[in-house]
Amino acid sequence: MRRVRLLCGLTLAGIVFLGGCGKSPADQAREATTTLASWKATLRLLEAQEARGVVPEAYAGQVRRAAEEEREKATAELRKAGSR
Amino acid sequence: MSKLFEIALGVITGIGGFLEAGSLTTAAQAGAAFGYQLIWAIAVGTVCIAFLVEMAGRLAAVSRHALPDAMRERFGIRFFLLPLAAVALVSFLVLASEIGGVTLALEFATGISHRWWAIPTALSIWLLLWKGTFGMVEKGTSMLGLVTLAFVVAALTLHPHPAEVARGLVPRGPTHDAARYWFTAVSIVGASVSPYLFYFYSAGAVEDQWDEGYLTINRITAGVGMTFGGAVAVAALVCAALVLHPQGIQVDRFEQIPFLLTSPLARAGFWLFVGALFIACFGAALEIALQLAYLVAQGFGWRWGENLQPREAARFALVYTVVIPLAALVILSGIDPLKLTVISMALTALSLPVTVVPLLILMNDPQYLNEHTNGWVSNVAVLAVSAIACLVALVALPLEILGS
Amino acid sequence: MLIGRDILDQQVVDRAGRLMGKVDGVVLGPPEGEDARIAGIVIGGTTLLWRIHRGLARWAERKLGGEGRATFVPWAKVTKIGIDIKVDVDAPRTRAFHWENWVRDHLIGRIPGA
Repeated sequence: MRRVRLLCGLTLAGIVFLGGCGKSPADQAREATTTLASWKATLRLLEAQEARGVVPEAYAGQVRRAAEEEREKATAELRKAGSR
Repeated sequence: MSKLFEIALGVITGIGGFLEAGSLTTAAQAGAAFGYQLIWAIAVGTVCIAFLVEMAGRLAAVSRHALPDAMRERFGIRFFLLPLAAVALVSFLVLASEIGGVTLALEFATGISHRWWAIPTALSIWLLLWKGTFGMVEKGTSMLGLVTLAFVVAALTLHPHPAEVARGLVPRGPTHDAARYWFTAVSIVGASVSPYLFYFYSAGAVEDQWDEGYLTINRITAGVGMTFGGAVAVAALVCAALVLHPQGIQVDRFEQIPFLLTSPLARAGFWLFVGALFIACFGAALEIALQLAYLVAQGFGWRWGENLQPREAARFALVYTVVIPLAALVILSGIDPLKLTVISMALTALSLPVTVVPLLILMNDPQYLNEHTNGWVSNVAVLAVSAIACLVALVALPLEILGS
Repeated sequence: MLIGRDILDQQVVDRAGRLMGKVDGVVLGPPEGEDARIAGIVIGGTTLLWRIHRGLARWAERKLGGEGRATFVPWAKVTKIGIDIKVDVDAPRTRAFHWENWVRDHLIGRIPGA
C-alpha cells in the first residue's frame, strides 16, 4: 500500500513538474501567430464559399463572430508573450 | 434469413452509430493539423473498440448478464464503485458534449445561439427515452445515422491519393508540434473507445435476449460494423486533410468543421453536415443517457428496461431523468462545446484501464464465459491499447490544459 | 459454495420473476460443526454502506435511526442459486420495493405519460 502511494505521489509530482514547465513565451507567441494565420485563412475560405453561394448568410456571420473572438484571444496571448 | 437481417442491422448500427461529436471533432482536428499522419490512431481505436464490443456482446450472450451486473457480482461492491464512478463521470461529460453537438447543429441551421437550444434538446432526448422503446432508440439512431456516410461521399469527391492515405495507416511520430500531435492521437483513441459504446451494446444484447446462438452474429456485427464505422471517421479526417490542411487552417471552433462538407458538396454539403451532426449527436446522447441508467440500475439490482413504462422501472427512469438536464446545464453554462468534447475524449483515454480491465477479467473467467473465454490476442490487444493510451494521456493532458 | 462468490452481490429475483435487488449482505447463523450456516440474505437499507465505509454507515444509521429499510429473506426461502438467486417471496410486499415505490409515487409517477 505504501509503495502504491509512493508511486502515485511520484506520478503526480511528475505531472505537476511537466505542467509547470508549460510553454515558453516563444512557444506561446508561435502558437498565437499560427492561430491568427489559421483564422485569416478560415475567413478567406469563407469568402470564397460565400462567392459560390455555398454557405447561408447566418452561418457566415457565425464564422466571422467566432473568428473575431479567437483572434482577440490570440492577440492578447501575443501581447502577453511579448511582454515576458 | 432472419439471422442475415440481424447481421445487416448490426452492421448498420456500427456504421451509423460510430461518428458523433467526439470522433468528428478529433478527426477534423487531426486532418487539419496533421494531414493523413494520424489515420493510424483511428485504426488503433477502431480495432480496440471492435474487440471490446465483441467481448461485451459475448459476455451478455453466454452469461446472460449485462456488464454492470456481472461486474458488481464478480468484484463486489467496493471494487465495483471505482469503474462505476469512472464510467459514470466520463459518460456524463461525453453526454454533455453530444448535447453540445446537437445545439450547435441547430445554431448552424437557425442562426439562434446554441445555448438557447440546450433545454429544448434535453427535453426531446428525455421525451424519446420516456416514451420510446429500446428497438426504437437502437434502430432509429442507426438508420438515421447513415447520413454520416455523407463524409465518405465528400472524401471520395475530393480525390484523395489512395497510396498517401494508406501511408497514414502506419503509426509514426510527428513531423511537428509533438505535444499537440500526441494529445490529438490520444483524443482520437478516447473518442473511438468510449465506454458507453460497449456498455450500451451489452445492455442491448440483454434487452434483445441474446443467447449462445448469437455469438457469430455478434462477432460479425462488432468486426464489420466497427470497421466500417471507423472508415467514416477516416473519411472525415481525409476531408479535413484536403480542405483545411492545405490552407493552414487548424480547427479551434466547431464553426470551422462544416467546411469539410461545404467545400466538396456545396450547399447540399452544408445541410448534410447539419443533419449529420444533429442526428449523430442526438443518437449518441440517447444511448449515453440510457447507458447511464443501465449502469446504475443494473449495478444496484433495480428493475430496469427501456421497454418498460417509466412507472414500472421508476428508479431506472429517474437516473436518465436527472442526468439529461444536468448535462444540458453544462452547455447552458457557456463552456465551449469543442473544448469540452476534446477534453472528455482525452479523459476517456485516461480512464481506459479502469473501465476496461474489469471487463477483461470477466472475459477470462470461465464461470461467466464457460468455454468462450478470451483468446490471448484479444487480451493483449485491448490491454496494450488501454495502457499506452492512458500513459500518453497522463502526459499529454496536463500539458494541453496547463499550456493553453 | 462460497458465500462471497456465489451469493453476495448476486441479483435476487422473486417468485414472479421481478428483480428485487442485489444481495447486499448475508446473515450467518450459528455454525453447524465446521460449516458456517446462512440464516438469510439482506437486501437494501444501510447494509451496503457497511461494506463500503464503516464511518459512513454509522453516520447513516444515526440519521435514519436504524438499519433503514433492509429486507431480510430467510435462507429457507431461497429456492435456486444460479445466474440469479431466486427467492420464494412476493417482492412488492416486502420493504425491498420501498424506494422503488416511493420514487414511482412521488417523482416519476407525477410526470405525465409515466
